[in-house]
Amino acid sequence: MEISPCRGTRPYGGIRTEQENFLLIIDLTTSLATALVCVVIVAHSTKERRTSAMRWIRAGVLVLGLGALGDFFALLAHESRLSFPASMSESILWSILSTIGVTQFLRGRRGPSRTERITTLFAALSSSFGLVWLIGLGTIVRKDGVGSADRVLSTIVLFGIALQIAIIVVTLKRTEHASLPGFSTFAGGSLTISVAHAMSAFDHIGIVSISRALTGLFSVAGTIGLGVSLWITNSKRPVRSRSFLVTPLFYAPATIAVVISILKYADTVDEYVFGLTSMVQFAMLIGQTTSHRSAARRTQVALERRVTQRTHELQQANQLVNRAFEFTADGIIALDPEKSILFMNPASRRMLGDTGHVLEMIRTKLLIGETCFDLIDEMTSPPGTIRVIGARLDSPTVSWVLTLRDVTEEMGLLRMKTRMLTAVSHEIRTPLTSLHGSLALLDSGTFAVLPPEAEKLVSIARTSSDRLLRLVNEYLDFERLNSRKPETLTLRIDDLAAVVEEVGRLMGPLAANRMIRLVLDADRVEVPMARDQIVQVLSNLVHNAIKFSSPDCIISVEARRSEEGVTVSVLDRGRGLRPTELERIFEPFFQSSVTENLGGTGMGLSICHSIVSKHGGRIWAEVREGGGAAFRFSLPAVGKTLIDRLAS
Amino acid sequence: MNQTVRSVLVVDDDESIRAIVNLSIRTYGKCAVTLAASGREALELLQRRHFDLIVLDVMIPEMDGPATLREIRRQHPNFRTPVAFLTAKAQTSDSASLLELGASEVISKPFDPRALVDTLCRIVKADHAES
Repeated sequence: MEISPCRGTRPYGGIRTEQENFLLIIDLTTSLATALVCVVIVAHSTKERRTSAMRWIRAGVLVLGLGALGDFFALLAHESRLSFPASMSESILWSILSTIGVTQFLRGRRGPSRTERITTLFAALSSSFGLVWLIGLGTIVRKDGVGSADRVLSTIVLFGIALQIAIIVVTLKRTEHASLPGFSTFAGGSLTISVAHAMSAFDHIGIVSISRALTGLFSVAGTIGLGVSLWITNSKRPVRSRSFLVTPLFYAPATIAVVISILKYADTVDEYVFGLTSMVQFAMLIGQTTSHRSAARRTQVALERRVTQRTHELQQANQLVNRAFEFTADGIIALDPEKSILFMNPASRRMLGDTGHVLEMIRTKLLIGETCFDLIDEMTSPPGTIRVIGARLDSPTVSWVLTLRDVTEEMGLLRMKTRMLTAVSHEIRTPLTSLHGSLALLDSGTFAVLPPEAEKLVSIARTSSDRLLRLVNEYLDFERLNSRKPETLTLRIDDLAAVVEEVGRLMGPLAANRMIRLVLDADRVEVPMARDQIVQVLSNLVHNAIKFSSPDCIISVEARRSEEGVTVSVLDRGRGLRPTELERIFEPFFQSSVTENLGGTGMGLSICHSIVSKHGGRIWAEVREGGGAAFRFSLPAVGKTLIDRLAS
Repeated sequence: MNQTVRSVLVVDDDESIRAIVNLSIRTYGKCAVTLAASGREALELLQRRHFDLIVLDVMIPEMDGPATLREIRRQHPNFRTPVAFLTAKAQTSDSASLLELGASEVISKPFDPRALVDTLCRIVKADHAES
């Protein structure tokens, strides 16, 4: 039973705080208590049927009781939204009832004094004021939410306080009757409510909570006050005051004014009893308000402390991150969705110097989908190589985070390593040439026929020098194909069948040596290729097949027209492959566990892979049914690289 | 080697390579070979006499193969003798630039003695047919 406007804001809806839980229990208790007291009063008052005023009072109490019961269930069901119209309709009902009650009172036989009439009139006015306040606030809350409602409420309440202080002053000065306690109780209660509302409104702490707590208490107190006044009315003592009627109009029967009025005016036992009850209720009210206020204050202080602490922690963490950004050797740049610089740390500023044209280039790179690229010399300050790694973010504020790393030194070392290895390889080739040539001349028997032992030794030396040469060549090929600036591939339309034939010629002697038969079967397919390199790929595959096959095996080399262009296969019945290694076999320096102990650098297939990829084709391996391996590569009919070149 | 080829000039700074080329040409080509260890030495020899074929190593100290060839052409505007380069670099891009200089062939090291002489014969034959 509350006049609280806050029902409309679902104070108990959703997730509830501890405080709200507590208030809910109070509300439930007071609603139930009110309903019970109302039932007792109605049952008791049915004995008295003489005056129509009593009938109205009974009816009123009945409505109050039913309302309280309804409120109780509504709260229980957490349907607090429904409670707002319930409270409003109650209020309207009580306004009507109070008007009727006042009319009855004014027409009463014993006729009240002029002062009583005036005070009752004020009471009716205040009642209307309460109604207007309720409706107005309800509308505001619904429209704008609690924030602006708080401001309007505090204004209205201040106005109400002024009005009610005036009423109390007038009443205290004019009234000489026992009706005073009833009215001043109402007035004081209203004042307390208003002050409580004002305080909470100004503090912005739990206006909902406090007003609900107060109105809940007023409900209990008001009902008890009503009961007491009815008891007095029904007792055989002369009824001195019918202005008790105003009490149930508002649920606020406690006030400090009661104390003053009792001390100043009370002269009957009834008046003392009622006054004392009011005082007790008032004390309860103050206690509740204070405890609620301090609880709210405590919660707020704790909350504030936590917020301050968290803010401090966040600031510290932020500062740490900022310091890290500031002192890291890597450059870090954040770009917004328009690819403008959002953030740039000192390292990146140092690396890039003038950012204008560099940023333009970075934007272009990102636009064409490059997320890892190097900026060289003229883009950097001082000249060097800066590697940029871009990470795309799915955020409305930051779209790219770029990491800039100075790789000048690494690149220098890499270049030096390559230069050194290449130089060494070249240097090795010259003595190898002499060795190879000398052995070949010796072996040819042109100068002298060698004894069998010497011939055997020369043959061993030739095989070894061949192997050494192959190693050096493979390394040089590998280095060339993996260098950052690959040599441009010159593709010419050429016949695959001719390539197969050439490889057959090259590999024939080796195969014959090992008693292996090479079966060539090639369609005439003309595709764009760098012939030397494709010969190298196929030779390498055939060489491998010969190396890993046992004597008397057959190795087939096929070239077939396919959808893509041409597919070349080298099929053997050798040691085969592990299915798990099919993918990895083309990685540089990978050694298959099947062929691990047979020598080889692990570069051959990697070179094949590079060459085929550069042609826009693909290379793969299969495990053959019945044993052995199949190595296949395909080349596009119109080279992908060729299309790229034409496009550019 | 061939009736038209009587003398070959071999320019290489590496003594053993010079020896192998010398032996190979003499054995399979049956003609006189003159050896030079540097570009300068080759230029001096060319001032004095005529060769039917020049085998020029690319990587020789001081004046390298291509530089030597350019210098020969500068000194002898009517130079028509076929030149074969010997190179330890086997990259196609290198070969292409050497052929552009007017070399007849680029032979990569290491080479098979017989194959070397076969190649040289082919060059001379082609050159002869042209003229």
